[in-house]
Amino acid sequence: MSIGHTLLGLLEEGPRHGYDLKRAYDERFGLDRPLHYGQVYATLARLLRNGLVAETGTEPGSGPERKSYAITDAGVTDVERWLATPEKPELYLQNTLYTKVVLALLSGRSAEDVLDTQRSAHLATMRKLTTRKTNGDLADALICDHALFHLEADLRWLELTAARLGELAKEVAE
Amino acid sequence: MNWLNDLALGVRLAVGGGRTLKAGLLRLVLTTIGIGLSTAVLLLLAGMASALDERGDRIAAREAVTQASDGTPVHTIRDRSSFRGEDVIVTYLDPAGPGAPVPPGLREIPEPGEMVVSPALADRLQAHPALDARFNQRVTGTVAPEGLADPTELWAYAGGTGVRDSPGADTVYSYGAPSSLDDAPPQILFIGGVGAVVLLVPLLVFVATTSRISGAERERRLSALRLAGARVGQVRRIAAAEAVVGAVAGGLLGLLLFLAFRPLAEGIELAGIAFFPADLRPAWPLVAAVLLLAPVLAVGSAWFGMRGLIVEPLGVLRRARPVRRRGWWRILLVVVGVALLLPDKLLGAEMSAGDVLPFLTTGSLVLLIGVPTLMPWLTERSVGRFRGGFPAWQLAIRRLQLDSGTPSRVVAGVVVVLAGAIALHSLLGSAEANAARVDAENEDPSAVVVNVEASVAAEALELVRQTRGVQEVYPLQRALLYDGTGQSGLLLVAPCDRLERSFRLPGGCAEGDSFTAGEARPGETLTAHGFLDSSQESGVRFTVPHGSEAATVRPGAAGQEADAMLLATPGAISGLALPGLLRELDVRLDPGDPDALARMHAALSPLEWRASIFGMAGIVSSGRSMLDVMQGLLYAGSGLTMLLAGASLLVTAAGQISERRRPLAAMSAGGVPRGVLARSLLWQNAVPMVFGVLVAVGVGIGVAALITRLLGNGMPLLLDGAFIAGMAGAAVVLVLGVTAATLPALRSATSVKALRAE
Amino acid sequence: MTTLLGATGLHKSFGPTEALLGADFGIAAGEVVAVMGPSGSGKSTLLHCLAGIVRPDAGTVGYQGRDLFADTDAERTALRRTDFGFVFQFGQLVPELSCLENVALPLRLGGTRRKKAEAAAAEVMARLEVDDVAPKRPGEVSGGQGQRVAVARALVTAPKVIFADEPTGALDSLSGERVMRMLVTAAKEHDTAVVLVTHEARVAAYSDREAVVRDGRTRQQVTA
Repeated sequence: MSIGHTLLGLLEEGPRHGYDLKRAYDERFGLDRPLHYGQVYATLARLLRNGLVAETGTEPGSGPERKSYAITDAGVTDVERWLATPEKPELYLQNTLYTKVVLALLSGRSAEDVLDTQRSAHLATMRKLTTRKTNGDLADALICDHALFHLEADLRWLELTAARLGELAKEVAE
Repeated sequence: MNWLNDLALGVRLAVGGGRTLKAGLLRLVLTTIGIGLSTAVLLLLAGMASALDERGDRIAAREAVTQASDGTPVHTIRDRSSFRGEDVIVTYLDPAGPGAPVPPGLREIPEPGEMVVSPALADRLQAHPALDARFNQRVTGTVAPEGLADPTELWAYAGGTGVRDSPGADTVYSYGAPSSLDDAPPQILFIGGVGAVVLLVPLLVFVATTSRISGAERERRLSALRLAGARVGQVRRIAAAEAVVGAVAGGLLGLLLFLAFRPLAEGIELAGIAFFPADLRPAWPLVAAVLLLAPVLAVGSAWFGMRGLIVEPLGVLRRARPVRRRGWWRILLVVVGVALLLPDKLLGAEMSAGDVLPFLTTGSLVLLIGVPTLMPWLTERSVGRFRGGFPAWQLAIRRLQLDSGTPSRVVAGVVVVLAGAIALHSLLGSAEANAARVDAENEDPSAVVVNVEASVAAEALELVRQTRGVQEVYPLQRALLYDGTGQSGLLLVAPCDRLERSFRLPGGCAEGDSFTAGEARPGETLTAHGFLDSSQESGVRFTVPHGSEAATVRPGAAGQEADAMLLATPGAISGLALPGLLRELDVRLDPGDPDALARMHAALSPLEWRASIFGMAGIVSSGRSMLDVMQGLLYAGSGLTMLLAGASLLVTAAGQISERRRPLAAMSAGGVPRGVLARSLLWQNAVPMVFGVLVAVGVGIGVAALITRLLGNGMPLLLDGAFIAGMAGAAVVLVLGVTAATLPALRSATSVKALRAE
Repeated sequence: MTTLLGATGLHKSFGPTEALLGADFGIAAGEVVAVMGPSGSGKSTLLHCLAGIVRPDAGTVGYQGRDLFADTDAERTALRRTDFGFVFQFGQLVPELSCLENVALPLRLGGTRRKKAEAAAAEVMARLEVDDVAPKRPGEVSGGQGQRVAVARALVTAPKVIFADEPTGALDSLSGERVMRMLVTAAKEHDTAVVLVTHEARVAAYSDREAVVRDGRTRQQVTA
């Protein structure tokens, strides 16, 4: 789960203060684990250093919370690349995938593409597991099946999400 | 009130049930039509029974009572001639005074020169001047229906003078004899019993079939009801209500059809007998029975079909694997039937026709019921032996092996009708051929006999002689002769050349001669009687003239000439006052002149009843018309059953197709040509039908042979190949037609829609 | 890789429902392609068009370089019998024929003599490990056995393409796995292409690649 990419994605809507960013993040993705301020500023500092965001101004007063950040072109490219890269199919991907889908919707990108890409990656992994299972012994088969069923569960969630993208887009837009 | 709800639910399922609304409705419509048709026919049959009753009553009511009693009688004489094969019957009435009895259908006795005719005869007289020319009288009215047997009867009453003086006249004191139909001949019971079975069995089969259509689908539906909380009893009630809807609708449709058909009945003549629509009024108990029959059968067979089934919430269980059909009791029925048809062998005694009849009736019925119960078993056994064959055949045979019950039940109905029809037809055909053989002996269309009253004999002879188209005419006279030992024979008086035509007269013939034939000897004393007054005492004794030579009858002469005892030229008997001599004119018409007979009729018309023409061609053995009626019923019944069987087959086939949509669609998708599927349907229908036809022909001929053996007095059994082939052909056409009719259903079943998961 | 069976720009609507809106598809010999997508997306319609069962409103289906829908209905029917095989979710076996006869049926329809056809059928059934149910009727065997009999029937003509529409849809996981393993193994052995319509990822995982149908269009991803 990349907080950096998520913050970048949120900045695509427009420049924000660090405090706004944390609130936006918590609202959408931080259901059970809200971000600490420290995490936000550490991440922003890293992004600033890499040239993915820029400071756009400081309001009267002082302290990091008064600074406002904007995404740079390099930042947009980085978000794009991140969205287009499937997550390595592994267990408990929901958070990352969900974030990606929401961000794609927020930024007007194709959330379906994100899902299709991910499905493809999942299936590729599943194919490998299936081949191993077919050629291997029973222990192999059992281990592979465990993974396969979990991956399948992910994919089913994916399909369900894809089917409900319209609904999600409406909620996100609010 | 709960059960009312169950019934309502059943009705709802019957109307809206089925895979689709359309399929449910189709089933309902087919059931309704099938049951409607058979109900209508049964009602019509019941109506016809009461109409026949009425008819019998009317015929009895116009029967003349000649037993002398108080009151003024009317003298009548009946002139029966034929016009284009139909009898024209004119009764001349000569009242002895005022107050003489008036026949039913007349307001008063017509005056001489007047005639009151039946409506049908009035139509004929209008349409055919040649018929009109036969009558000199003025038509002054029509005979009311109560005086007629049926609307097509050609019947008239005319006023006559001098009837009372004719030796052939009846003296009638009143009209009306007790109806003779009460003691119907046992043959009628036989024909009636067999006929009823032949009509009822198909109805039964049809109802049973339709109530079991789409059985699997229905079972699913019922188990869904159980899942929803219906108790076993409720399910039975629901199933009953479901079955009863079509039956009730069919009953109503049948009633409507019957009522709609009734007014048309007058125009329809069922093989010689037509009915007054008003007579087609079946007795109420019969109507109730007919209307109740179909629903009761429907519920019965629905429940019967559920025996061995346990409808459980999660599906239908069969209590056991379907038992292999046991054959012994089915065979037993057939054996008993055959045995009953062999009562003389069974009881080892000679039996009269009357004694045999109960055996015949029950035997035939047992056979006709036994055969259809044997059919499913027979089909199962036979089909079970088939193996392989080309794919369409294999598909059909395997289907039949899996469930041959339904198709063979349908076919069983056909078998009963076919067997019954073939048996009756062969019987009737043999009887008819016998009658025809008798007729053929007399048959000579150019030979016509005119019965003439003595008072006009010379005048009639002259009138006929002058008619164009008459080749020869001889006056003939006949009387009955008895010798001392009680032997009887005919006295035949005719001119020499007429005598020589029928007899070999070795010594030649001259006017005044007489000849002996048969037993008579010259010098023997004989007693002569009139035909119409044959009491022995009133006879006139005379001696066979000495010098009468012996004559021998030529081969091929008519039967009555073979019976001749004494031949005489008119001069030979001129001195004898013989009473009641039957006077005839023996006329030979020009065979090439079709109008000669009509001209002769016209020429003799002034003589009224005194000269009545008897065309030999018009004389038909009396048994004939009854045979015609039976045959008409037979054809109607067979035709109807074939239709019903067709409807049953169609319903079954359509139900099967809808049950097997998926495999059919999958096969079609997988490249099985639709032709193969269509042909497999054809075989599936045809195989049981072929069995059925074979069995039916066998049973039919067998029954006919057994019955002819008992009743026929050596009458040969004649098989009408054309009829049998026709019936078999009809079965083939039926199978083809049903298969063709199911093709649209097949097409829709093989469409891609059926492939979609439900 | 040359395309054995391909479709371009397929459009098909059933009344007001539009099932396909310009779907493309291609499969090479010996390739196993999973057609995936939500229900109602037009997966089955695509399969039916590819197999020549349903004529598309627009677009072409090419098989071995010829236009499938330029042929007559009878020719397509014959082609389906000789070159294609079919496995559906359920209910495809003729209930009154024995399993052996079911498998032999396509050969019989092609004019092969009974003995020979049934011998060939027995051989395929042995490969799919269902030779023990040969004399039984489809109603008397388990779902998995029935589907393997169906696979045997699809394979018996040595077809070039097998169309499998949710072949494991009515089966439990284990039976489903078995059917899929045998189907794919047999197909690979004979260089038979398989068009596999499924919504289950574990089933789709037996494919070489997947084509996703969404809203009547296909998105194909060729994975290395």
